[in-house]
Amino acid sequence: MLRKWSEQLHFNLMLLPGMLLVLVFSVWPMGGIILAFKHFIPTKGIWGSGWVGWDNYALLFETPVAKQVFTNTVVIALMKMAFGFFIPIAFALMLNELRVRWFKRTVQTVVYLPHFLSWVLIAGILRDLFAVDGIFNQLLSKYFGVEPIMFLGEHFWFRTIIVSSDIWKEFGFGTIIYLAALTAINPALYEAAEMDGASRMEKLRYITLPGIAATIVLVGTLSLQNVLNAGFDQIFNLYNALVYDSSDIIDTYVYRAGLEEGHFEIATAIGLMKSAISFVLIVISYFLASRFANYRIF
Amino acid sequence: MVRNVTPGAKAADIALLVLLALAAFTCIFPIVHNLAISFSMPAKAEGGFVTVYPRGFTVAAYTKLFEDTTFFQTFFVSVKRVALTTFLSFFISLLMAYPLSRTNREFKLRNAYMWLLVFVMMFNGGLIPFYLIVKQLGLMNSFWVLVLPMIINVYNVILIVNYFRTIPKELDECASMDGAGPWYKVFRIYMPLAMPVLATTTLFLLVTVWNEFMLGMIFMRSIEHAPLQTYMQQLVVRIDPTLLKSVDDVKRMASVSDKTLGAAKIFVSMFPIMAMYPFLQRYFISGITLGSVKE
Amino acid sequence: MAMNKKWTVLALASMLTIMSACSSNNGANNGNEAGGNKEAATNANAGGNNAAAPADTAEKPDPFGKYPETVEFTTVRPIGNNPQFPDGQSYEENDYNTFMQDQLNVKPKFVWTAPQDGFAYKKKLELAINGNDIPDIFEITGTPTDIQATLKRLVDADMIEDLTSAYEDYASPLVKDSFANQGNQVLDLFKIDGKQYAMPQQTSLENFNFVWIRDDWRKKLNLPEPKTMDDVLAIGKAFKEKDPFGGGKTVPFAMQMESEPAGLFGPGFLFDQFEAYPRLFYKDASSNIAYGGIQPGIKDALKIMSQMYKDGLLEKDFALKDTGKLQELLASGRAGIVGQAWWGVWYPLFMTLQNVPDADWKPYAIPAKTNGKINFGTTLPVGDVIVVKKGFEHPELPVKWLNVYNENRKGEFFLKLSQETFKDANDKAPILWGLTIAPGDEILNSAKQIVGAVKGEIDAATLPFTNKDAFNNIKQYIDELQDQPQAPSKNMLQWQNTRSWYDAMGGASGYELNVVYSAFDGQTPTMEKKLTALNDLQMKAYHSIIMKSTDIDADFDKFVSDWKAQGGDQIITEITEALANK
Repeated sequence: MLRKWSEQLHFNLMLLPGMLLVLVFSVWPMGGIILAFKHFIPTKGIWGSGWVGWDNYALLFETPVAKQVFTNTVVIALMKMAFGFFIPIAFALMLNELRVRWFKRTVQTVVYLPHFLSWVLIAGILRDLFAVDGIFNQLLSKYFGVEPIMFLGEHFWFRTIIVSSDIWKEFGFGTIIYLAALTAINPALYEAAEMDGASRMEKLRYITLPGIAATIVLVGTLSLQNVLNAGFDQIFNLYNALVYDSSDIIDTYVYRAGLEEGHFEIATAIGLMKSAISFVLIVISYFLASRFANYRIF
Repeated sequence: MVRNVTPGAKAADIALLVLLALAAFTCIFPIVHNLAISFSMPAKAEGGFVTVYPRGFTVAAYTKLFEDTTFFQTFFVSVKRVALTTFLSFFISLLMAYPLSRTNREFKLRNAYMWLLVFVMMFNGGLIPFYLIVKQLGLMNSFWVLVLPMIINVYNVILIVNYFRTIPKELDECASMDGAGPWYKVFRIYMPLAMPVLATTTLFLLVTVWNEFMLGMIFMRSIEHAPLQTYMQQLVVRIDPTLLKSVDDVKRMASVSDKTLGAAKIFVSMFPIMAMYPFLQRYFISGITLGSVKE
Repeated sequence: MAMNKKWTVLALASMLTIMSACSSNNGANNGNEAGGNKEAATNANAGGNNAAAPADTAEKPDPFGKYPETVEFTTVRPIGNNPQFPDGQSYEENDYNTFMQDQLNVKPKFVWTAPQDGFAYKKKLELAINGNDIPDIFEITGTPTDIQATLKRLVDADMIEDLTSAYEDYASPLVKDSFANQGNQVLDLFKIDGKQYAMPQQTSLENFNFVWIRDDWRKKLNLPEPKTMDDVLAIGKAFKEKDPFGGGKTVPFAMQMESEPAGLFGPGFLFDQFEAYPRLFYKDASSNIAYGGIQPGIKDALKIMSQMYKDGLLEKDFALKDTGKLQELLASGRAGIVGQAWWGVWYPLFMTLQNVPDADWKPYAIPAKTNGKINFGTTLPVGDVIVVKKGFEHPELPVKWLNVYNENRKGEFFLKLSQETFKDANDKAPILWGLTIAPGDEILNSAKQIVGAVKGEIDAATLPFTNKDAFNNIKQYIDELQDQPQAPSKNMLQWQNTRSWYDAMGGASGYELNVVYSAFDGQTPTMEKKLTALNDLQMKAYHSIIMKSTDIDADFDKFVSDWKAQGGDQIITEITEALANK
């Protein structure tokens, strides 16, 4: 019994440094959430400032901004989720069919790379690539005679670039989990199928897909929690005034309202709303994941 | 394995090969293009003639880059920051993961801790409270403000926890019978066994920290104390011509247009990640696999 | 509002180059502090304490009085990127600041510095304000409206000092006269409930629109110098047809119109032709408040631009180009015509010459067809402001600082410093709070004197110190250099002085000026809520009229009624009321 107690103590001690950091940098600032319901006066501090009830939310919904940023966020996030879901699966299946090992490895190495580069830098590159006198427009006009397109200045193209560059950056990384699941499929199944004269397509359909079905369901359900995460770093570094209407998302708006306009109450209010909705989504997604994929986060 | 190589299968193979090669090319193209720009003559780069190889090869952009003392100051801030953060995070996360990987019966407060972590992963108090706390702690302008808030990554901790749980219980029990305490077990049994996942989380953190740009912008007293990405964010993304205003200044700039210099800076900023990444690749693959795919 | 913020900043930056002694601490023209001074500053609570400040109650108001004991104060400052200073000089410690500090016996302590760029300074200041962590004295940057909004929040939170009596008691005669020269309107902008809370910058009026033309091309194509806007358009068409750059890459009109209807490199020169000022609330002929952006004159100008767009005189994506892209275009030598202020040749037009040695840019002042005058709509010529933290013992310190600075900015000491010590630096005047307080006609008057001296109407010996440089350069260029091949690029300095002072400002002084000031530079409640959206609406309408519209009259009318309905009318009513209550 004594040993048990000392073990508990040691467990707590082990957690201490990490928990201290969490308490200081994450839990302590959380008191600031009440700013969403206050009129903030710097000299009075967060606690001393007066309560205003739901006024900040009222103000928020009085302008068309709130609706717009919510719509943008959801639309962009859903598009990213949809494409970002199917492409890695397809890509993993294709890689799996490859027989040239060195080539497979090379492709893998290359497609994982973009995941590790920062949006700050990628945005710098994309801005040049998609400029009106950039390489894409040059090639389009040279080989197809297409008039230069304002890729980053038109709503449709901007969103397209936001979605596709996100896929570009992340699809390779997304294949890892499927490739792992694929290696877990028992090779004897394939051998048996071949004995029976199964075609490639048949093997794919009856062995491969069922083999990774659980993983697919898992990834699908877990991605639900991202409905309100449309990608701050990416959009923040790429967008411009011409496309605010179609690409200002919650996170970028919170940033602008707070740091550029000094409306921290509004920023907090909309941020809190996002967190709350996200929380619900996460609970749902974990519930679904545990129900359908037998998955536990911890 | 016996294979029936029909012409149709052969064609399918080739189509597959081409498709995948194309995808790989797409992934690497922007980076190669950027590299080509950085080595091109400014005039060619501006004209949009550069695709995947430099036109009018020159290293002028890199020569100019070497004159930019701020770039290197911030570069070293980043290196220092990444090294320190990943080092601390390695041990702190490891220590956190062990008790959290015990069952609820073995460690009574386990679930309470776990829920707290998940909760802070989701909610945050916003910038102003964070700012006030940093101020209260006396961390304004301190290098530590770039490090401390980055150390704990809940997602990484969970990865390690999940990995620990795949380690057979018997190992733990045997060690206990031999009189090993929890500290001994963490460092002598779990740490060596968990190297793949620890390498993964360290790599993830390394990338996250290298790419982070907000903290430097908000808390450092001037740009050369901030990390490289903060500087790059100010530079690449919003090139402001008001920087150039004296005749002499622009004379220097004229031989190296923004475009080639910008590309050179982007490339050098990416370089550490790209240089390290092939070596770490096998770790993050095995790590993420073991951490997230269960049963 | 009427002018892009960058425009203001650039104007100041150019002033810096032209009249080297005149420095602007507006920030954009400054670089990083060189990191020499690493001491202290970590202490976030340093704000309140000023140990060394003596409470000398018997001090008599002396605008230039030196403090008996060194007064230390904390501050922050906006800077530029990538400073290159002589050894031992930095943003925090340099010969300019040393001079100022010695004059007054004061010592600034920098809590932080941040680039003006990408609004880094503004964001950090916003955090400091909301974190109740402001330094003793600091500068607020932004448009007058931005500054007023920040000021109001500071006053509401009781964070800053009332400077009314500090100004009354301590402002020097020069400073007071300069403000009075523009009816103290600039000071009034920063009064709340009759109290002066900030010391503003006041610049001279200078940003009239000139049409800058590649004169080497014009001469090559045997075209006459333009007198009217039709001449200018004809030159643009000729540039399109004859393609002097070659390869079909000539851009007849380089134009920026991304988020401001008439900002830097914008189509302001076209709007001026119709006495239209797209971002200005002003008093019209019958003394009613009118918004420039919805006047019929705008429509006339847009029709011209739409035709220009159809004819390929504008780039297809001109609406997307930011200042940086425009600068690249101008530097590349592909552009033929661009609208810019008189100082355009100092930035960025000279960059063309570095890539194209034969190039020559020349400015033309084109009077409007409607009234034969040079029209110019502007907000009040105000820049950044300085405020003092509540409780700081010496609220008069910034007033005295500005006294000393403005007394000396055109003097030999500062001029020599920038020409010698800071000769090779990319910021020639890294002074703290170098806020000019100038009378409105300062620059035009200087130009008149210089032109007079060149023409021999005035004795050059009587010119003030700062104008002699320009005079000598112009004289040399006109008498000896201008007919030599590649004269501009081989004699950059002489050419720049000639084009800016002599051709641009000198040219403009030959016409009658019609300056239209904004009637209201504050912010009404509806403005606060809706002006951003209205401005977006305006830009969208202009863009689509220029690039897509098939029925401009109908589309413009639609925009006007949308603008009015979505809050525009409400704003005008509110402004009228606000002015009536003043």
